[in-house]
Amino acid sequence: MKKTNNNTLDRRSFLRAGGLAGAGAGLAGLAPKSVRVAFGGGGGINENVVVYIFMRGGPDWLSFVTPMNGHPDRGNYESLRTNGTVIPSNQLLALDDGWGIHPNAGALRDLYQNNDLGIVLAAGLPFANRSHFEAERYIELGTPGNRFTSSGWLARHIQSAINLPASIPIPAMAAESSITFSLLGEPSALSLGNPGAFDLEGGNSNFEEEQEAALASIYGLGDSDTEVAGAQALTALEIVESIDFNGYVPANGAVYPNSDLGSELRLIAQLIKENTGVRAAQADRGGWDTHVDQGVLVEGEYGGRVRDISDSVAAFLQDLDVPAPNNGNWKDRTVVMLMGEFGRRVFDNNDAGTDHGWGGNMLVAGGASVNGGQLYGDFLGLGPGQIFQNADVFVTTDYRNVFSEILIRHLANNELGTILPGFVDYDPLGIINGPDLPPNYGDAEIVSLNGFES
Amino acid sequence: MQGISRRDFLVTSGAASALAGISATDSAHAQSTPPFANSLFPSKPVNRGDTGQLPPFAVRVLNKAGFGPARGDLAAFNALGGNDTQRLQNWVDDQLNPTPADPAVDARLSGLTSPGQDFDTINKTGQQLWLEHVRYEGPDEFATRIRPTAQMERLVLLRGAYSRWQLRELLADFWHNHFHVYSYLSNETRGYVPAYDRDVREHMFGNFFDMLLANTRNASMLFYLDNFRNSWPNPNENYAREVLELHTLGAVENYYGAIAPVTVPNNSVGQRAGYTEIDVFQFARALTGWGVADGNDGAPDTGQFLFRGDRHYDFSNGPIQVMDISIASDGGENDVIQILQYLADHFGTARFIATKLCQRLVGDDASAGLIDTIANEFYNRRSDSDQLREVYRAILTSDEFQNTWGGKARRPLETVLRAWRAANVDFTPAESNGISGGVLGRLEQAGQRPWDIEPPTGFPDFKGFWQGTGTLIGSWRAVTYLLTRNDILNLAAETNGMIPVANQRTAINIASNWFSTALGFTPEPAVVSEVEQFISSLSGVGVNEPLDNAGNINTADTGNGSRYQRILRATTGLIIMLPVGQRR
Repeated sequence: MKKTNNNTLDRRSFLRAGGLAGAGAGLAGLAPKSVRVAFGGGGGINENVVVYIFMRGGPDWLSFVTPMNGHPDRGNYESLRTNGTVIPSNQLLALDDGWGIHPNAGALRDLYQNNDLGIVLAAGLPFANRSHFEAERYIELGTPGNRFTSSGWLARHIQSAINLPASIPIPAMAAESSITFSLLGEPSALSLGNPGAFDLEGGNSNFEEEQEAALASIYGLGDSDTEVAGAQALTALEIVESIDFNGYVPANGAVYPNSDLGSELRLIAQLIKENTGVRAAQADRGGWDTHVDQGVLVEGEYGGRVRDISDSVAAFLQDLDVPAPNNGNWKDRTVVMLMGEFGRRVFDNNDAGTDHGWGGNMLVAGGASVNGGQLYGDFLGLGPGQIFQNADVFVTTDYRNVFSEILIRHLANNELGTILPGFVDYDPLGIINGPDLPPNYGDAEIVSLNGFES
Repeated sequence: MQGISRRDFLVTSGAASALAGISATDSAHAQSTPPFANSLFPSKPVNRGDTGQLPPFAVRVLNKAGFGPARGDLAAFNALGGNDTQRLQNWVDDQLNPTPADPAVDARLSGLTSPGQDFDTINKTGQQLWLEHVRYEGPDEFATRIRPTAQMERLVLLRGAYSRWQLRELLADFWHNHFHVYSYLSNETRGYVPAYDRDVREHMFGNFFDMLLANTRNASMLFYLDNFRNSWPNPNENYAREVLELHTLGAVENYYGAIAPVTVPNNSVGQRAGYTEIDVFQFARALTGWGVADGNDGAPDTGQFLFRGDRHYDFSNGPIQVMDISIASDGGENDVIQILQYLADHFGTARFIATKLCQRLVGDDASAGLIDTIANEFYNRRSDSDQLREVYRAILTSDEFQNTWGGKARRPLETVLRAWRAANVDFTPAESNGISGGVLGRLEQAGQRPWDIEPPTGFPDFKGFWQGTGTLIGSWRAVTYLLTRNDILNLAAETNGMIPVANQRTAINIASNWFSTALGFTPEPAVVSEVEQFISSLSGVGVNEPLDNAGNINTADTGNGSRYQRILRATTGLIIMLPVGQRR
């Protein structure tokens, strides 16, 4: 009934294609159908990790990766930004093809030059949706067009992976107090905001441990969602209590920024390195909904967020650059992916800010798994006729294509029909190194992006 | 599952010390089998159809339409009539017509609203808040600016815990989330919360349009979503989008995205069914000039609503067209008012609000039939001055409200307030009492401190989001913190009141009395047995034996630190944290 235009997935055909029975339909029942595939190392066990950093609010990507002098769109960029959101070309740090990265992203530029960071330009939802509310759910649930999906894409990765060991202490986590949409619907996912406060609080004198044990016993009696969630929370409490967080020393002299994101990535790094089995982790970095006084320059608020992202990711990879079990290296086993729900308008508003848009970028960083030092994706330009509705960067790479490449080449999970139902256009950009597997699209029909059912 | 205790774990595995000192070299030789005794993966499969034991009618009502029964509430409810329907009807009649008097709350606030006292900002006018807090400069500047928020979040606890108008408090929370303002954003939002809350409460039993209009003119919202600066040319679209997406039509059913408005079909009552990107842009134009007297551009600095004609859209650029509303020439602030009236009267708004209210009061899976009925009620009463009251009544007296249970997971704030009431906690959560800050800090860690969420969606309201490990541990941390504070509750004295004869104070009797008092019913036998065993093992006597038989327990000692008191804190906490208490 809705969202039927020429660049939009028809909702009805999407629902049919994805096998989603309708609003509120659960995907947990979709079982993986392919047979076990053996992978290198560890007898069929994949030990790789994906770390997903969600930039909530929708970043102004044109201020993150920006045309410099000499780029064909520098002139368009300057003429679209007349209210104080232009970054002078000579402040930008050069990448390739006339693009420069924000002056506060020196650490990311270093990763890029070390081939540890790749950037996908003009990525995003397959159709424009400028609502935070919907766009975030579409992306994190992995089902554009359906915001009622009861589980997230990383949850369904854990549920469909056939290359995980029989048990894992912490298979997936959000470094947040509440569970994130990507991990929704998988009871084994840990949400852990502050390890120092992850505990009941009666103390010995009020029999706290006995109370925890009794609760664990009682929550173990049944299998309702409430009971399973409670039992998992109490198991998580035992695991978290057994880890010394205060004594953690990051490796290689890595220094995390004194920020929420810095703390969250530090926590994730520690749990990875202590062999808790983390395969998927999420951290959020909000504050990108910059309608007024964006502050794009070095000392501005936007600039501060860029520095936080940049220094946090660099510290994280530095910290992970240590040997891992089975002759591995944690940095090589890890892919960090960053994105927000949408990009912003190519032009600024009266208030030195930018409003919601469509196309943005995705950043992919890591060790051996990342084919970095390159820009990916087709950027159509900022000139007349090159921008969507005279307002936004055109999306040329469906975000699900990048998810798929990480799932298949890095995590060796080809169950796209379960994880990204309805997505049938896997076409790797080459940003991830790793063996390809034939995607299993499940029962999905082919859905074209022109809104017509085939 | 009997979890291995932390101490046992450290002794048996020595893991903590080994892990703390782990180095690159060590981890190279680490085993891929983790040294953990427990695993989260795989979890037990979830049976989605199981919502557990069905509590009695009165318990269901007071937990779904309030923050749970306090002492005497269940008996009072059951005295309201000869059968459930009658009792519910009478309870709803009472709750839908709150009077200004709220005895328990008023008593606690008495004397505390005068200058220099703990709640001295809550009755200030908008202009007073603006001048004395938002714009305050001088000693204690930051503390003075945030004081209105600090007092209001404590007032949320106070009202939720003690108000006799429980439905009003639950619905005030609903509307604050519907028209969410992140109060920590700026001085303007921090300092103005009491005036914002008054607007919500003035209209929440009245007409939706009135509430919407008041909301669009309130400085809190104008600053939070940036419309205070929205000016022509180059409008700021932020607020226009959120009014359509979050406050009126909702994005879920009524956002048509980037298509031409003329291609949007009509709905069942002949209105254009939803909005497009063009409508967002057009509405943003209409909202230019809709702002605040904030001292800029010659305006006084009062925080009052101010329409600035000089910032308003220039109609020489063409008419404004928002859905079915076309405005050809400059009508000043009436441009926005007629669009708001249209949106408030739109059937899509009726459906969106009806869906959210049903999901709040009935459950996430409220039926399409109920939502249709409620949407029609909302729409048909759109001109009534008691529109919202009648909408609530229709939901609360529906068969579905009466017969369902477990459709919601209790959120952290709801968990804490229920515990507060169930354990008869007695203290005024004022700033001068450190326990109030303790509770709020723990709510923050659990993910639900009032007003403390940045996006304009407010706190999500569906089960899955609130069943994560961090939410549950955080909620229980707040509960156990509250129930183990000294001097604000006396469970030992209360127990002795229920069981006056000392040699009847057995595990079985204590459990049974607290099931009635804190839950309102007896849980399933396996749970009863677990709780009895818990008391028995802490006291060291059999389930049928008086606790006084244990050499180190004297049930006559009802002091803060007595062993008896501490056993009862743990027991009552356990009963409050049972699975049945996480549902509503």
